[in-house]
Amino acid sequence: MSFLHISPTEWATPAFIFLVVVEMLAVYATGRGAFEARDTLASLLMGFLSVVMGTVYTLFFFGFGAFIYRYRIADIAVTPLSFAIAFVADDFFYYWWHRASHRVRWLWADHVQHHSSQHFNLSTALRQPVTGAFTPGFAFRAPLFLLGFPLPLLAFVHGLNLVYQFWIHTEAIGKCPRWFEAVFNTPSHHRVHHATNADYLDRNYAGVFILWDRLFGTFVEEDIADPPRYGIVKNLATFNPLRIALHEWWGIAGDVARSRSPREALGYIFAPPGWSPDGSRETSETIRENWQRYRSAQLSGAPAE
Amino acid sequence: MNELLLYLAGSLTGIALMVGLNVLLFGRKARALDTGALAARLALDHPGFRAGDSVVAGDAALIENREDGAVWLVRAGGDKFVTRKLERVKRLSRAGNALDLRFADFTFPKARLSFADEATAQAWEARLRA
Repeated sequence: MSFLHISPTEWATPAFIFLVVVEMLAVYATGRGAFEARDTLASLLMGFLSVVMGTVYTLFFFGFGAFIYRYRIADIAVTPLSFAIAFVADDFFYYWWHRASHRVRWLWADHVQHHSSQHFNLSTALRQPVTGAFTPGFAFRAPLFLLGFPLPLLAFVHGLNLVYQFWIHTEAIGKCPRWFEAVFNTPSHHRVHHATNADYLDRNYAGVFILWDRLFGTFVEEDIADPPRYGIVKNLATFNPLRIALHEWWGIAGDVARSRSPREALGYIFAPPGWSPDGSRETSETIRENWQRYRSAQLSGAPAE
Repeated sequence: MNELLLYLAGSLTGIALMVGLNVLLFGRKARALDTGALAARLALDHPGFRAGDSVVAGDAALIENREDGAVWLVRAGGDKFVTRKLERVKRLSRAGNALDLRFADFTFPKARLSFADEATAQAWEARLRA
């Protein structure tokens, strides 16, 4: 298959730009969704920077992949069937990478950049992290290299996966047909993922197939009574791409520097975002628990502790 | 080399055009600081939040949580709000009717609160120092 040498994301870039413009016009005409110039600028600049920094990440991907591939257990030829299997398997490992990126602060330091906008539109899809080369994210697909899928095939299907995820970053589309919502990741499911509402935190990690979330217990349906509030728990007061890219790394460095033991330092790097030795900060779990306690107290008429 | 420069120039021009269209269609909105809306937002984000005293000071506002007495700082960030609980103020100083706050916060290092008069600034200064 000679097309495997092309990059789906590069080929799709003109379509990305065209669709952002179409969405802007649609939002202007219908009022469904929102854009803010400085937010859009930050997102687009980060998309641009991520392409530049992505060359470093690609070197890691192919270097690491080529090394692991030497120990493969089979030689898988590129056929329509192996292509389909590689696409689904890549999405499966994407789910686990994505889930880890929300649960391990080291990975979150990179991924949070994508979540840092309080808006949810197609330009948000282009707000890509620029520090991926400083995380071991590429290692999540090691099993695919070991199985013997050729590297160009894996790079290609992963590119297709990312292209798919572009269109789900929008408020302009409500719900898709039920059968589609049941199987695939959609704008509705992904709005939940980008929201800071207590019930939506750390949910819907899927790339293409929402089935993984349904299977592994991380799926939450969008509730029209609880509209998503986008961004991160502690929203950023800047549109500067460099500050956006570095803020969590800076936070980790400061916490590690102030650590009183190696165990604390490791906790600040590998524990979930918001972890602290004395529990004084908020994690997704504590936020959810606080809300559940509050709601229970409201229902029973007792004051929440 | 020329191809790379062309790619960079093309990308940056494309970004400029898209942001230009954004400004043309939606303007440069700055969210008005309405304390009612701020209280509603804080109540959505923090269980049990009950708005107490509040004041709009320039492009920021202070709002008290009657539940625990904590004071929250809210600033408009474009058409959205950015909120911070004022518990780790690194430096606080007053010049006339303005309070200057500095924080150990990488994306929100400082804020200037311009009050309507000096007495109000003094009152909130005392509150923040308590």
